[in-house]
Amino acid sequence: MKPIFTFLLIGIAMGSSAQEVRVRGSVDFSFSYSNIKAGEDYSLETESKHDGVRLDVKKLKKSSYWRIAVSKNDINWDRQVQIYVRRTTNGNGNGYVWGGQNYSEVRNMPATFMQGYGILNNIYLQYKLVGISMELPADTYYTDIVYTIYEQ
Amino acid sequence: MKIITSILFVLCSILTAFGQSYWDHDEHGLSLKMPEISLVTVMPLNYTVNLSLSLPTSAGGEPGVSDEGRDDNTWLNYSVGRRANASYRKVYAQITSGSIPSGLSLKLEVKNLQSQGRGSCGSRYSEETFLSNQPQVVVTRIGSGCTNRGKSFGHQLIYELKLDDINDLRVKEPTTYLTITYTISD
Repeated sequence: MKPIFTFLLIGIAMGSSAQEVRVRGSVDFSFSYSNIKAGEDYSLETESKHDGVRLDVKKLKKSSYWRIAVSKNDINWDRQVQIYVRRTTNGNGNGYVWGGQNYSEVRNMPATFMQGYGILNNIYLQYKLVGISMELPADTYYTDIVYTIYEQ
Repeated sequence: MKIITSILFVLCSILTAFGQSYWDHDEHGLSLKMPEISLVTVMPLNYTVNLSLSLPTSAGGEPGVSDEGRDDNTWLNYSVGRRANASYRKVYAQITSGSIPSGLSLKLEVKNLQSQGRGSCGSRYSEETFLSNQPQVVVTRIGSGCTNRGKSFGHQLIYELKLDDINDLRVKEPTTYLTITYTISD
């Protein structure tokens, strides 16, 4: 009886799980000889596929209103290149989302990207890079894009 | 027993309180691959440089060089992407087919950039180069950058046919065809 009661209490504690944001996918921009001719520079802007990354909002706890901030955590990134993100779908589920349809710059400090209500899956994200140039030294650059959900 | 139960309850409550943070985060990677690139071309494409040695204007005169022996209609364009701290690129010129008739020489003058490129473009190696079948540096210190593409961009190329020594002049055919190749490398 006692162990059952103990496990029940622990179960209650663990069961009250926090809200979750989950992102799946990654984005790889790559250039090659085929992108330019001698004398030319790369196109200053380039976009990813519109559905390369998807974001889910899960397990909300209280009012179900939330906002998501986006930021980046540079591993090896050149400041000459700016990253922009936008959502290309509204997702599906019992909630809705607003904001984020126009490109927002992703900076090292978190900034609100979109807001919403309720649980949503499959909010697709598209990225744009600005500042691509031959001036950029040949290398492979990395950064992590971080999404933080705040329940309101 | 009641005490133990109470302690457990308090512990679970604390755990619950910590679990109820009102934020969560997740992340994904983003990469950008910029390759090492070296591309060079001469503009306009498919343009053929025609140079002629002018005839003497009077008996006993030497064939000389006129405007027909000079051409300034071509431009060298390039794009270079190199790693940071990698060596600079150079452009070499050489005659890769045909040979210059004896008694004549072909001078190449490479101008410095007259319109702004992007990044770190190179500069000419020397004021003039006499072309041969050996590669010779004509542009040096090219970093990561590009000249832009087209006529009037990059380095203007000026070819000039020179009479070295009339005594050596041997012309077997009325027209001699040469191929001049530009190569970009470390």
